[in-house]
Amino acid sequence: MNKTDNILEKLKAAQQPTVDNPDELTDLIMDSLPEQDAPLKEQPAKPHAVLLTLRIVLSMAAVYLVGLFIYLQAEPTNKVEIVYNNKVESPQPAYCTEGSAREILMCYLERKREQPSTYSLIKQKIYESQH
Amino acid sequence: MTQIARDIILRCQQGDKEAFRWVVETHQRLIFSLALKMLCDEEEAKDMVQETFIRVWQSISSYDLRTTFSTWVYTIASRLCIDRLKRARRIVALPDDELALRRFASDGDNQLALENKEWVSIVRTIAGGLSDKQRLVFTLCQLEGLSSAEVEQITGLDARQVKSNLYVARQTIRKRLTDLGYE
Repeated sequence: MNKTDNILEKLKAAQQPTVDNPDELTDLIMDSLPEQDAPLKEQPAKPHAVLLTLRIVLSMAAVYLVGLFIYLQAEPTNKVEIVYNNKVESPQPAYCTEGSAREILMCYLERKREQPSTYSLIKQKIYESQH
Repeated sequence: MTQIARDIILRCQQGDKEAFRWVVETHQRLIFSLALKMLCDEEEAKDMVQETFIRVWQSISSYDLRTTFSTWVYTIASRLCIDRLKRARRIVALPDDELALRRFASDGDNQLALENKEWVSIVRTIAGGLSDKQRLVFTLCQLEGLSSAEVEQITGLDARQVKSNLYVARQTIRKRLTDLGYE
C-alpha cells in the first residue's frame, strides 16, 4: 500500500468531525423551523442548456421572419427591365480583312467612328423596352 | 429502518416537531461531517446543517418511507453543499494546513482522533484541486465510507460516473501528495 492509500485509509478510520455543542445546534434548528404547512419557496426551474440555446435560436429566427414579412409587405419598386437578347451572337466582322495591318486598323477605326456609340445603343434599347 | 424510526418519521410527516427533534439529533453529526469536509469551514458547516434540516422539515411529507432516510437527508445536504460551493470562493490550502497533514501522516495510530480544525486543514490540503462533483463523490465514498449504490442515489450519477469521478479525484490527490513529497 502506498503513502496516498495509507493516508486515505487512515482518514476513513479516523474519528469523524463532531459538532462542539450538539444540543445548542439542535435547539437552534428547532427554533428556526418554519410551519410545515407554509408553502416552500418556489425555486424557478433551471432550464437545460440545450433548451436555452434552442430558445435563443428560435427567438432570433422569429425576429428574422418578422423582419422578412415586413420587407415583403413593402411596395415593390418598379424595376426597369431591359430587354436584351444575349443569345444573339454579334456578327463576325466581314470587313477590313484585307490589306496590311495598318490598313486593317485604320479601316476598323473608321467604321467604328461611323457606328452609333454604346451609350446611344443602350439608351435606344431602354426606350424600345419601355415602349 | 426500524419500526421506531418509521413511526417517528410518520409523526414528523404529520407535523410533530418533537418527533423531528429526534431526527435532528440522530442525523446532525452525519450532515455536519459531510458539510465540514465539503465546505472546509466550521461555521459554514453549521449553517449548512441548519439549512439542511429546515429543508428536510419542509419536504418530509414527500419522503417515501420505502427509501433509506439517511440517504434522503444526505441527498438534500449534498445539493445544498454543491450550491454553496458554487457561490463560495475556491477552497485553497493555507501554509499551516500542510503541517496538520504531516502530523497526521506521521502518526502511527490508525484510529486517530482528529479535531475539526485538523479535518479542515487536511481536506483543504489534499482535496483543494478537485471539482465540486469530484469533491462530493470523494467525500461520500472515501471519507464518509458510503457504498457506491448509496453515492449513486445521493448524487444522481450512474455507477460509471461515480467510478470515473472517484478515479480522477484519487489521481489528483495522489499527484498533490506526490508534489508534497509523500510518495
